[in-house]
Amino acid sequence: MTEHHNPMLLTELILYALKRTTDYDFTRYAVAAMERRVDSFIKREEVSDKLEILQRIAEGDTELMSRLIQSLTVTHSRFFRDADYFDCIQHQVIPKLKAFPKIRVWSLGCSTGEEVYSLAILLDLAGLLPQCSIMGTDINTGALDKAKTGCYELERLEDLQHSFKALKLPHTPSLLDYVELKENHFQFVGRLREVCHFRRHNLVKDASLGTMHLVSCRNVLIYLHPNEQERVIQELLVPSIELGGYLVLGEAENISDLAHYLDLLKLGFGVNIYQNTVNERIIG
Amino acid sequence: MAGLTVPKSMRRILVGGSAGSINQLKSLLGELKPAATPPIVLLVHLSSMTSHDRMCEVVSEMLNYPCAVAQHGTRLEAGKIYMPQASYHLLVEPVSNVCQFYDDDAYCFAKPSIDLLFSSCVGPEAAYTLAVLLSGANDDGATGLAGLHTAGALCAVADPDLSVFPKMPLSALERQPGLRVLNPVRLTN
Repeated sequence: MTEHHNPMLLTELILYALKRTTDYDFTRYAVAAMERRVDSFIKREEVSDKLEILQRIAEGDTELMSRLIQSLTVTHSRFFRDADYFDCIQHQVIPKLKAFPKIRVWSLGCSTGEEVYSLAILLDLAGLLPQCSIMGTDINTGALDKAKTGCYELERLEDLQHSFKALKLPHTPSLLDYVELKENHFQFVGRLREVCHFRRHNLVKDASLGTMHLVSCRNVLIYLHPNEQERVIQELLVPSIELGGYLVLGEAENISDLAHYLDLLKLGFGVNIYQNTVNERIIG
Repeated sequence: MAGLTVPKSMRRILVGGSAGSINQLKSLLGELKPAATPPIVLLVHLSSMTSHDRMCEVVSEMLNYPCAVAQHGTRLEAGKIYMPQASYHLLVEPVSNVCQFYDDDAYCFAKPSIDLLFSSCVGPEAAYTLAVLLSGANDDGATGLAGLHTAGALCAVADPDLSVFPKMPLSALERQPGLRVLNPVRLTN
């Protein structure tokens, strides 16, 4: 048997085999995209082809499965990704969070932590860092290990600096207040890292981590079946929002149809940020 | 060499292009009648300074053809042109003809990527897919077009001699010599 006839079918079989043997379900992901990731995995690992991957999954090769899962997970992330979002969070959301004595933030699908540290900087600029706890979760433990270090390649610094400068700040703090330059990387400073925590969480299967004042789940729901999306929103995300808290979803994840039913008010400003409307009655 | 008549069995037309391809759109799509044409997904690489919404208006006016920016979950309708958003790769779930976003790094330095769009229709539905690759200065789309062609899709490239930047159609022809070459660069009903 050769792979030349229908390589995409073999990729689909690999995804279904992983679903059967682990709690990772990539079958909702676009097969075309997964195909690229499986091909890259084969090139990088000492694996001859997709048939060998299938065989080793069937044999229960957990190490291979673990590395394959890390390769299939989307880890695309940037600091202060989507300026409109962070502008809205900075000017519309964070001023309201000041009303809370403790501020709990949850970033789902946080990958290597870029959004978590970006939020930490914004909260520090507002003087709220000491009362904050920011939890970043993902299913990719490799990405979380990187996030925990707070270390990033030096070439990412330019991207961070560009985004940092784009923030409409009343004064001009230095990025060096937030990062320490090392020989070939930079690291977020200890006071940021102290409030940023990371742990594995599968949003399809795991329970809420408690109520939060800001729940950010951007560009994760697009990979779920529409029914599953609705279930995650109603049974995980919305119950995790503190009264008066906020839900941040990705550019493509507009839930306006559900929002009224769930007592969520879309903030506007062209972004998918929703506030639990009960907040208006409680803190004005 | 010739233009191409869209077979009535087609359920979607996928068009990819980069530098120099905007100038080919009038020729390629200008004679198609919306009422007789399956949905068209048009993925042209744009600079980060160009708004996809604005581009959609420009294409609609230029071709006098209904044009919309595809959203995650958009079901493709006949007689319309769909263009992607800049923030995501655009894929088509071919059985349902529903658009899906995929959030990842650039492929072939491009986001959205033509290769990923084309590859998303490889499979049994390829037989009902017509795909065209236009002018461009990189090779995004060549791999996807080869995959579609192998799977039974009707695949064509703009004649490299009629393309300001022939690299894109040439790369596709190098990878899959059996592709149709459009001269003129024209689709008709």
